[in-house]
Amino acid sequence: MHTFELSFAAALLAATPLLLAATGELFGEILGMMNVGIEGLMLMGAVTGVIVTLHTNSPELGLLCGALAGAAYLLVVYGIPVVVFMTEQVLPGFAVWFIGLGLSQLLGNNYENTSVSSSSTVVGLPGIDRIPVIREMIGHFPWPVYVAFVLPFGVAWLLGHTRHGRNMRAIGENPATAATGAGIAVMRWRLFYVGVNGFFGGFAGAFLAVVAVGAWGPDVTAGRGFIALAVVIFSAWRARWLIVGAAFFGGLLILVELGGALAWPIPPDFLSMFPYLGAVIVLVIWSIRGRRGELSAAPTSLGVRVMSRR
Amino acid sequence: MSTGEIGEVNKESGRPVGAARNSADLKLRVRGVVKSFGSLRALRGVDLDCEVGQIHAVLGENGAGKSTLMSVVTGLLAPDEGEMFLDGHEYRPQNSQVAMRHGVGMVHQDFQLIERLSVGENLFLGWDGAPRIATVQRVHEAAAAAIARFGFSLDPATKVQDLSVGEQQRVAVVRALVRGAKVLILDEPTAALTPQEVGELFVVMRSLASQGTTIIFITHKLREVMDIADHVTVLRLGERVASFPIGECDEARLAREMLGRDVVPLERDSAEVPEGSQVVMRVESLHARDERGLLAVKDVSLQLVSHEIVGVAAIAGNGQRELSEALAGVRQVESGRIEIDGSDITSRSANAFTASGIGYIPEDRLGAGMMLRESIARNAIMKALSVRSERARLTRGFLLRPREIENYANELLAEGQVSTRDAGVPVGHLSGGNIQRLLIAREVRIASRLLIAVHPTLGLDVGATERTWQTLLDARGRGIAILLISEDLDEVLTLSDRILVMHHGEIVGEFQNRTTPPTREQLGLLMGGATPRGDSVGVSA
Amino acid sequence: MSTGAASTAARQSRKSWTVVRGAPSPKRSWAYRIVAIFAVIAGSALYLVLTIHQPDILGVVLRESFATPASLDEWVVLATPFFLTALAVLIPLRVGLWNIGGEGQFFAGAWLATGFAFWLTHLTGGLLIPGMLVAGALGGALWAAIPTLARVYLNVNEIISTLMLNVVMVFWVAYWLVGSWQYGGSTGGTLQSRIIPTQAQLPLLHVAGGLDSGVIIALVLTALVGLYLHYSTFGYQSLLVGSGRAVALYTGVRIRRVQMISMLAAGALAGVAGVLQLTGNSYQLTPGLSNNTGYLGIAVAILAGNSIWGLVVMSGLLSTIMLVGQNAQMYGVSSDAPFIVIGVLLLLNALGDALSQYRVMRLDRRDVSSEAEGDDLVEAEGHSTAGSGAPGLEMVRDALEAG
Repeated sequence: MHTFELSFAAALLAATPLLLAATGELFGEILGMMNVGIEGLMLMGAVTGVIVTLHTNSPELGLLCGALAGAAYLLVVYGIPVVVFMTEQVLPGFAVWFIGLGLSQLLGNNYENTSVSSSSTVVGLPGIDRIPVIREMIGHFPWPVYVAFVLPFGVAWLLGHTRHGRNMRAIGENPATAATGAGIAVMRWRLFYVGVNGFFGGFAGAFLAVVAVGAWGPDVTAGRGFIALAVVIFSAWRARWLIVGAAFFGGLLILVELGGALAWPIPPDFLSMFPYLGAVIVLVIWSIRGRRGELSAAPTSLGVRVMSRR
Repeated sequence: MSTGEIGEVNKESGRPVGAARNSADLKLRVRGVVKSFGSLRALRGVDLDCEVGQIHAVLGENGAGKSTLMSVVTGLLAPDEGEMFLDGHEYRPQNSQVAMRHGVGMVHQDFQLIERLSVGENLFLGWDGAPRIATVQRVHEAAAAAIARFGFSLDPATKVQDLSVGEQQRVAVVRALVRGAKVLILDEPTAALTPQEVGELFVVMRSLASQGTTIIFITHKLREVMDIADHVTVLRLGERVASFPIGECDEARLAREMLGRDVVPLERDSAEVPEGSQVVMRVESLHARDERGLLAVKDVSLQLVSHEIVGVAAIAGNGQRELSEALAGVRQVESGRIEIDGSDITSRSANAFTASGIGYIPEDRLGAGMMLRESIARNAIMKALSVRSERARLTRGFLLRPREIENYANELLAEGQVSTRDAGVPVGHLSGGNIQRLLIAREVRIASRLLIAVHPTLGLDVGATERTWQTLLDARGRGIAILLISEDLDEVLTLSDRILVMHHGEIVGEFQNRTTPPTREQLGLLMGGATPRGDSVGVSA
Repeated sequence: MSTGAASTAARQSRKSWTVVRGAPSPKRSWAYRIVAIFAVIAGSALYLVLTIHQPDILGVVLRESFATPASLDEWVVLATPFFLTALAVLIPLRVGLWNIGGEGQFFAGAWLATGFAFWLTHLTGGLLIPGMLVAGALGGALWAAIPTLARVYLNVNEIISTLMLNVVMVFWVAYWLVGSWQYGGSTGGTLQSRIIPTQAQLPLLHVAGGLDSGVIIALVLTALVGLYLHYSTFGYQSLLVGSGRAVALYTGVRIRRVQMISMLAAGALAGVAGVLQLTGNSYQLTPGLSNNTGYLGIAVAILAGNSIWGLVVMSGLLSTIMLVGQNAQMYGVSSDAPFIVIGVLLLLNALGDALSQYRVMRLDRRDVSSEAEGDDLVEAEGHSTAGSGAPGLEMVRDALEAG
């Protein structure tokens, strides 16, 4: 059963960037802002992370700079138009994707396929070496993996148990009312959380390139940004469910390798389709359940253009 | 601008303003506030003096500047000129939070609550005084304590969307009080309330005032001013035209000040509904649901006859909007039957209703009735393409005929007396009054059998209101049946031949307005759900 | 945007400049758009100069892009699919739907047409190409039908579903390129199909740059769609649906039907774009067949500002950007640089649209009566004022920032 343990570890590693990016996106969506360009955001984080790591030999610094670059990038390309100029949200999302695609390749041109060492980020969970199977499965991972899987619990606590979280949800429900009725400085809050979204999106990209893949390439994200979007929908905007969603889609992502390793009779192209097909199916199932009123956690103003400057 | 010193004689009323009062007692003083939007001067130097513990009515028509003034007082708008004093100190709020910190709170007309959150969560949203870290249970406990402290009864765990309108209003009031409001501004608070709920609100207002809260009561209803206010300030076209204690004025005087002239009763031909009138629409036990899936229209049966105006009197949210939509084919019917000229069109789309000669002036004129980004010409044919004769003129096969469409639009512009350059202008560039006239002209044009008019004069000034009424009476003269739905009882009483009263989606009363006109009290009781013989309305003054 | 300055000015003088928010103005929006385009062209030129920094090489790039006999042909060839993939975005946008699935529908069309050509090679030449076009349209429409049905009947967000289905379609095509369709048989290493038979290839109009007759088909379709959107009763119905659910219900237009037809037409057009690319100049199915035109069509449609003429012009503009990008690629310019240009254009365009609601007015506060100018001040967004019922003073409360 060595394959099982290995694929579990691989799935966990594949799920981590999805989880990080989806957590960031959840922050934005809780405040009513949908960013369809996570893919471009992750690319910017990835290229920054690799460049910094190569120059400083410090993957930690690379991850941090990737995250900060993501925050700055998303604020400029998405936050300012959507929040300050009150544009609609789809086009700036596309700009995030397109510009990220082009700019990351431009910046990373000279660094392509240069491998990065990130072995220093691996930590062992204390005391776990004594437990046989679990040791292989979750014992030794780069620290961002643990961070990613703990983070949603923190977000759930923030949203459910704090004044701050309740204010966030109020903004996502109805920004105009949150401003006039409750007196929340909506624009400032929204800008801040665009930054947070960018931070985690950039971190996700940097983790993917620096730690998981170990090199920069323009196709390093390979559609994971879109899957992260699907993870948020899968979670039905409940933070803890992000973990389930990321694990599910992470599992689908490693099916290709797994299928190849075990010589499954299914063509690899079909296995590659599964995460995306899965996302559509999840969307449909969730919509059917939503119609029956079972899930309605989506913020009311999600994706809606803000018209009033109050 | 006008300085409005204490003791100055008001030119209009000839009475001293705030005579025998010490300026130190004044809770809020507003002096010479000017606010313009572009070239539109919404406030032209307005003064306001409110005492501690006073219920101060601010009276004015739509567009008189009441809301703009309150936005300035609560920091939502910065005034161009003028100054304000709170407890004698200069007061200059940059936003509503600063205003709140100074103890100036507002209860908006639409309450500004987050519907999907609970009462308790709403009370504490965006407030620095709320506990930083707390489970929902703890928030609700704290909210329950606050609600009890101010003497209200509300369940803090209920979602706001499940509350009645009156309860939602109380949540908004408690929210302001929790944050320490000493000046409480109520913006048109009675608009959506039953007479009973109005009575309860007035009790609350009086009790708060007696505890030292200054209440600014924004309204355009004269009777309510007389019932509850201590002092009234009248605004007209952005200016303060009068201000006096309630004991020194009466309704007629207030009306004159508010409108700038005497109220002239509308002249209408007093002819009875002619003998030969036919039934245009017959409705049998109609049921319809609202957006939330609740039964909003219950077992409504009625007949609409040519040459007759039928008024529907109801308090907002009692199914009259849903009824109008069902009768116009816009809302799906749960059960029941709608016949026009004897043929069943119950489950057809609005398209078929239009084709049968039904015109519909909807409540949501800007959202549903017009495409604001599109030209007048394109808006003019929204309904006409469903009418066979007009369609023959405006199209050839499946192609539109732009020149005919433009002519059609120009005819509507002339009929509605809409002032604009040409029919190519986007409707969004017209003023609200012009949009409304265009819409009414369009619907009257296609209403060959029946016109359903919902709040047809809401937001119009007095002149435009009278023109609109005349349009409706003319249509009646041409033999068109008219269903008039309005929250303005005066409008219903003035125009209707027959009056139906709706409560909780049912028709609870019917009056032949020509032969046996109902009193306002009778209507009010029925609208509030009282049985016809009930006698007292709990209004305290 | 800030009124702080304006109100300070007002205190000193009665005449003042004020920023007023009103209805979004197409005229101002176009003005901003043109400024954005020039800004982006200037920026790209600067970038080219800085990257290549050898005047003679730069000259070669520009000559290859604009002044050789082949350059015009290439320009038109690059623009051809944009017309159709942009229509595939523009038509659904008119009924309030975002079709991000142009890329997938493009491949669905190209895939079915390739299959058609391989399976029915024996059809006489005259019928084969029309048959492929129909098959392509059908393929695109069918692939669009999935997200459309989900949206119309289950309210599934079409932005995300179309986006995901694009990726699915790319893998689907890749699967076929590994099997019996593969170039050089199933042992060949590259991911491309066999060449389609010659009778399935569109005739060339001009040989120098490989200009094929596909552009004529694309332009005819564009003209037909323009006619249909602006002058037909169905086009008018889509306007009603696109103006919001309330308007559609009020007029009784059949929302689902209009949305379905619009999305299926969009899918069919994107599918035809795929067929034209296949039969016009690539002659084989490859994963790079679309050259991202499905996604770039979104940019064209947005920049076109809901106008067919705009769509034609913007297709040309994007084609220019791609052409210069291609030619410059050989001299060290990143192959994805055009994406930056297009992304920035989209962004500036969105900003311009937002800014077009504002205008700067010089006012004399004493002269103008409130009635006369009320027209300019009405807040035009139906959503924000819906149900208030009282346009006028109350409505312009947020005409200006509270500060």
